[in-house]
Amino acid sequence: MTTGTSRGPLTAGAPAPPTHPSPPGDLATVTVRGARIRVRTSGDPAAPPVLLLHGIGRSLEDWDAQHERLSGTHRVISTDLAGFGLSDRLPGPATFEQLADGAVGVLDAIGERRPVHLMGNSLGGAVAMLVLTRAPERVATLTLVDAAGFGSEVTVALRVLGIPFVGARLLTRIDRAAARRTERAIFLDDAFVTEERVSFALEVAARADQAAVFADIARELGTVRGVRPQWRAALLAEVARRPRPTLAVWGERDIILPGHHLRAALAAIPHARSHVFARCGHMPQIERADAFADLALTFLRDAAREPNV
Amino acid sequence: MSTNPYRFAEGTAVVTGAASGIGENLAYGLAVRGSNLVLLDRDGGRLDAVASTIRGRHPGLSVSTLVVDLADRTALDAAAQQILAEHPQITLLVNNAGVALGGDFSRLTLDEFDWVMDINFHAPVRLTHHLLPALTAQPGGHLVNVSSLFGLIAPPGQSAYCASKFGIRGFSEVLRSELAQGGTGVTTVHPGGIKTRIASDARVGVNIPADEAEQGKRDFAKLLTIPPEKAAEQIIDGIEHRRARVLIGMSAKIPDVLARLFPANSVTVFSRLVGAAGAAQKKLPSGAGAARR
Repeated sequence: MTTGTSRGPLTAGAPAPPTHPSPPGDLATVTVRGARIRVRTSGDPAAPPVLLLHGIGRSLEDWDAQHERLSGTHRVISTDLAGFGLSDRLPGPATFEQLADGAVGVLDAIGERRPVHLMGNSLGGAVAMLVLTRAPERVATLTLVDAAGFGSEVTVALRVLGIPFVGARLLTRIDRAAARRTERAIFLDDAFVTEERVSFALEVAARADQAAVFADIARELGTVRGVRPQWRAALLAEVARRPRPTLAVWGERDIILPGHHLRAALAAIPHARSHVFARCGHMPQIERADAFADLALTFLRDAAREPNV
Repeated sequence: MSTNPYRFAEGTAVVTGAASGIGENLAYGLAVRGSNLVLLDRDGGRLDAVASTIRGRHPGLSVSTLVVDLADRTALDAAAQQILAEHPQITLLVNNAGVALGGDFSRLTLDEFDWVMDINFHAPVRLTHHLLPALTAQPGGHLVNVSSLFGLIAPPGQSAYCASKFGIRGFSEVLRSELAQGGTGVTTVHPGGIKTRIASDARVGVNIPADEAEQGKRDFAKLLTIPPEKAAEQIIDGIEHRRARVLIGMSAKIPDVLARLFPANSVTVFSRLVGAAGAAQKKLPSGAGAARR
């Protein structure tokens, strides 16, 4: 235990295992508009469904720790956003709308027609809100986890990737050191930056679809000056027209999307409940997996009792 | 001095006077940033309403309430012991509760004077003394004492209030130096005119005629132009950045400068300035006057 360093948790104690060695449930591949997309399902198929969406350049593995924790009471579904992870891109240019429609396509493909409890991390949070605006009947509640859409500030790394041509070139040149830097930026506690995680990130980054979709989406997300205000304003106005019970959470030490975006989220969605996790970076669902699951389950239980927001 | 920002999430903040005004809004702002809360006030009904609002918005937080009259030392000491028993680690203490009393010193009773001193001065000192071990158990904690514009300047008719607010300011500034070594920050807040219940709730000396008291309350209330949620945000920003002093509103900032330039008669200079500004405004064409506001 050391004090005075800028990184690392303030309290002693072993961190949760960085990756779950083998998350419960089944990993399958479904076909959506000709694209092969991975989906993991766990829990009782009859239980209320939860759909988990990851962030830009990431994969369904970002939700592995929550399969274990949520599947006792829910049917838990995590999927790659089309073109990310180890999944194909959909035909046509990669857009936010396409990612949202792809997620709904996965639900169709596994026969899940009920409204889902939608949880999205980072870009996945913006995609979750977009699913609500495009297919409101498919969404029961929203859980936004360090979500994109609430402010222009974003890590300079992502802003550079949004520059036409430059971003695409950079994305084809990710080496082990770059992959490790990204993981270190995501987590506060370096114990989560395992060799296993870095290797998997490299495997994901090496796929041609992933680099191309990443560059397209980074460009749509924002410019070198930050996240574009236009799509944010339009999206939040649409979300406000379709209120759902909403939980917005943030990691206090997030350096990808800063924590004050949570205040903007609460201004945009005034009925939302919120929480901030201490000693935590951009992915509370991994870095504070138990606390996240406790809170999410409490929220889902309360939402089931009082469905009218 | 600690250069690290104060971390709100999952800390435990104790806030006095949390049922209304700045304290209530501090509670909301701290909760949004993830702080667990221990809220104190003498008004149990309003305090419960604040607590249940916060619990509804932030199901992951622990919010507890203590109904206590800070003028009652025995009750205050008991409350402090209860807080210590339930929260061995406190990361933030905000001594916010305060009361006002109007009237010339010559016509105040000593009981009235003591009432103000008990709540505005002795209560924060006692609470800080009791909770200090829990607050300094780990580096990174923070203490906030809410003084006043009248902890900077001393207008007539505010003898008890000024004595208490100058006193708490001195106490607070000393603690800032003393606690720095252990890594605990201290902020002294000087609000100048926040729209809270302090004027309407002000006690009036038994010897002060009713019409004079009403005029005093109206004069005091005229100064209160800043919404308490805005004041709370400025205080929270001051906590996060470990500022020594937070001055809220121009009515605190200008007197602060004057008090430094004219330590003995800043009030005279201030009232002349205000008078001159008012006279100047009256001479302006109505359109220009309206444009200023």
